[in-house]
Amino acid sequence: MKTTVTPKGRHRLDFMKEPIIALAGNPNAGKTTIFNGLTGGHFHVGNYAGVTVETREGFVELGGKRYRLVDLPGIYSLTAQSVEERVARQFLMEARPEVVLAVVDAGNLERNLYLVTQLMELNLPLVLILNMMDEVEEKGWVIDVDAMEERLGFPVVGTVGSRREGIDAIKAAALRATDMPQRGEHVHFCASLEAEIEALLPRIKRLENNPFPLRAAAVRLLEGDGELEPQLTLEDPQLSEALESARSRIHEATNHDPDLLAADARYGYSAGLVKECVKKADPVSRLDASERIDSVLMHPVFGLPIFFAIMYLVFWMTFQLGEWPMRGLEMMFGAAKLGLTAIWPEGFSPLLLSVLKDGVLGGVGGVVVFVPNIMILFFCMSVLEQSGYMARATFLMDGFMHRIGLHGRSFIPMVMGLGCSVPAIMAARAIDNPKDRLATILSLPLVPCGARLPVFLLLVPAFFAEAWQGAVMFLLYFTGIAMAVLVAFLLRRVVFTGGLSHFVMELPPYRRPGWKGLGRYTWHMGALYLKKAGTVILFFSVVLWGLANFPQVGEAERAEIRATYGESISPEEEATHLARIQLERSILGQVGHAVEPVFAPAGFDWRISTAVLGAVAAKEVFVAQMGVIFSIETQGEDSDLSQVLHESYSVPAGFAVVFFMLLTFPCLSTLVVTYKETHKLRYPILQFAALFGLAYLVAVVLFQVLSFFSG
Amino acid sequence: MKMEHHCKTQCRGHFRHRVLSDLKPGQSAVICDLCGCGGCKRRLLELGLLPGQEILVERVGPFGEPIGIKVRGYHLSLRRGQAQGVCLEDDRHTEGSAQA
Repeated sequence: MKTTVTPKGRHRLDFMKEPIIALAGNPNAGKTTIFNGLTGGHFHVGNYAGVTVETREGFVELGGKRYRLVDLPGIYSLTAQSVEERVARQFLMEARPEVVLAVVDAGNLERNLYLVTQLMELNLPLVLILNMMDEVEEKGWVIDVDAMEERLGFPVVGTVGSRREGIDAIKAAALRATDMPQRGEHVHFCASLEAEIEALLPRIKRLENNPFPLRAAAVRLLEGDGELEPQLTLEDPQLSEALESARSRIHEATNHDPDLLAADARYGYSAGLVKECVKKADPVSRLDASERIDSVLMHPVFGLPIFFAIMYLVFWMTFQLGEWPMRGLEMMFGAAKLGLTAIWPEGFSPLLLSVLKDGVLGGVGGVVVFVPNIMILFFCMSVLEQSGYMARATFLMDGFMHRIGLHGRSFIPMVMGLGCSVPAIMAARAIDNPKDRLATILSLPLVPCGARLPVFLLLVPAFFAEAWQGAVMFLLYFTGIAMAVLVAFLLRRVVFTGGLSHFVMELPPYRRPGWKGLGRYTWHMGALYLKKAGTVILFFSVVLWGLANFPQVGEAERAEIRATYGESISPEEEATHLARIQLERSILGQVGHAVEPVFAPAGFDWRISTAVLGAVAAKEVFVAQMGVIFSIETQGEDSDLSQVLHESYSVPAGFAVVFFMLLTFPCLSTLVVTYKETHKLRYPILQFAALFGLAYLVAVVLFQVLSFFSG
Repeated sequence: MKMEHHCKTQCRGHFRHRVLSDLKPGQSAVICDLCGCGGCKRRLLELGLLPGQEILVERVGPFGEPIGIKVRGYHLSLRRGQAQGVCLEDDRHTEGSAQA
């Protein structure tokens, strides 16, 4: 079943062959472990166009029948306050699953059952899954599952998802739920609220566009529902007025708003259920295991240093440890290129060889090198997430991040941006609030990534005295990070304003991560990058390679070189000069020449312009192209090129180039990943245009001001 | 630089009451009412912060925010702006010297 939710919230079911079973529950209730237990871990990710919510889908066999199992996003309630809630409730109302499996954390029943009281109103067959029963036993609590089933009127099952215990019981219960007559057990609200619900029912009954059962719709409307009310008001224009007067009648009678009364009744119901069916151990006022861990990890003094140490470890693993497989991959691609050249039939289309070798193999290599980084980073992130530490990290950084207008969760992607923007932008998935996420994604490319280091290492020694080089490097990194923070702040204050509903955050108990699930998730993220972004990046890499290599130079240029440098020129030297001429006369070189006047105010000539344009492929390409243009082999000693640059350009121009390269448009891979993560073309375009504009402005101002002062 | 809170304290008629953000780590109190804009109030209600409920402030973040609380046996963190919308009943010990 493929589901699509457009940004306006319309919902479309493309096709459905199999009947559906849905998994619903709070975040951190262990839905994913139940999902993996039921499906055997095979899933594909359902994509909702326009929103960034993903749902996992898989198959499960029940009584010889194949069902589609859909894992809905984790939610606390069915109010349409967040994207997740909108997606979940639309799915439940429009796909009408055969059974809804409500997964709750048995150790936190009162809060988890709140959602269940709302699910009960939807008139769908329900199964209550009390997950994490092992933690309950550890606490010394006893839950009377049969008594609970008796009270609720639908099947209740105890499970330990992480150990796959109770999976068969869930299957049996799901079958039982489809046959069970629905008793229609629901929460009873206070008298004045019930009276208004009763009064509303006939009115709602006439409305055709109401997706909810009558009672559920009435409660929802009285509580105040940002989605249902406008939708039904279209059909019944006086509805809003009627609701307003009903609400004020309730307020007059009880001195409380209906939403508070409804929540109170629901919590009353769940607390009553817990009191009846759960025998809690004597309330000893000692700290539980999680609280003891927190007294160290969340320590007022040591909490932050421990967090920074963990951050450093994650960064080190991602980029230092990730370098080994990366080098291995690079060597593999190098060997593949050599092998291809070796087996290539002599004299057979050297152009095709070049396309395959440098265009395709080079492009694939450029895509694949990110995979180790991405997989290691997501492994670390999901260890932090599953263990419960991510919420603590967010807690520790939120005060600071809030001041710059973001959420604590934006901190980790920002740090990862120092390594590479591609995994960092993917890591921004951990930010729930879509506005924070966008502000983070858009400002991330300003954080100086690892590929900018070779550029700095070439340019800084070329233009700055040795004593100043360290300070300039510091200034570059400081400027990049400060600009990222400033841009994020401005975006959040000016463009993506509001949207604070998500800032209440649960700090779940610490749990041991499930290694099997971790491995699966890590693999999934690597594959996702290769499938979704890799193919597009590959396509554009080949195009860019073509731009730098066509039209092809040949014998005429060879003769030209011999005429200039003499017949005795060595084949190596000839090749270097030929490469320079190739780049200069290629489409890219021609464009570089053409845009020279644009870059002139920043002190760039056509050579720098060409290298800057080439850096769209990847930042470090700038270094390679400068080498080609100046006919200097950059593989060996870089200092030669630095020396030549020093002699060719003034210090103000050098300053302008360095800062331009710090701030300029992100590389191709970053743009593609931004598109894939936001699902909107306008964001990578905005990123490209805005950062280019910013870099251009800074470069021009720097060049003009410094030229003025240096006379 | 302080961000503007979208959930301004709107404890009408409760001016003499303390709010959650007044509590220090280790202190606990009973909720008497919830204020603030619809969305924020609703989320707190859904998470079980209801009148009559006891809450304990466990810790405050290193930058003065967020506030970590324990409620109904689980742990929650909220920002200062939201905590200002949670009005508390007067504590027995501080009764009579209620802060403005």
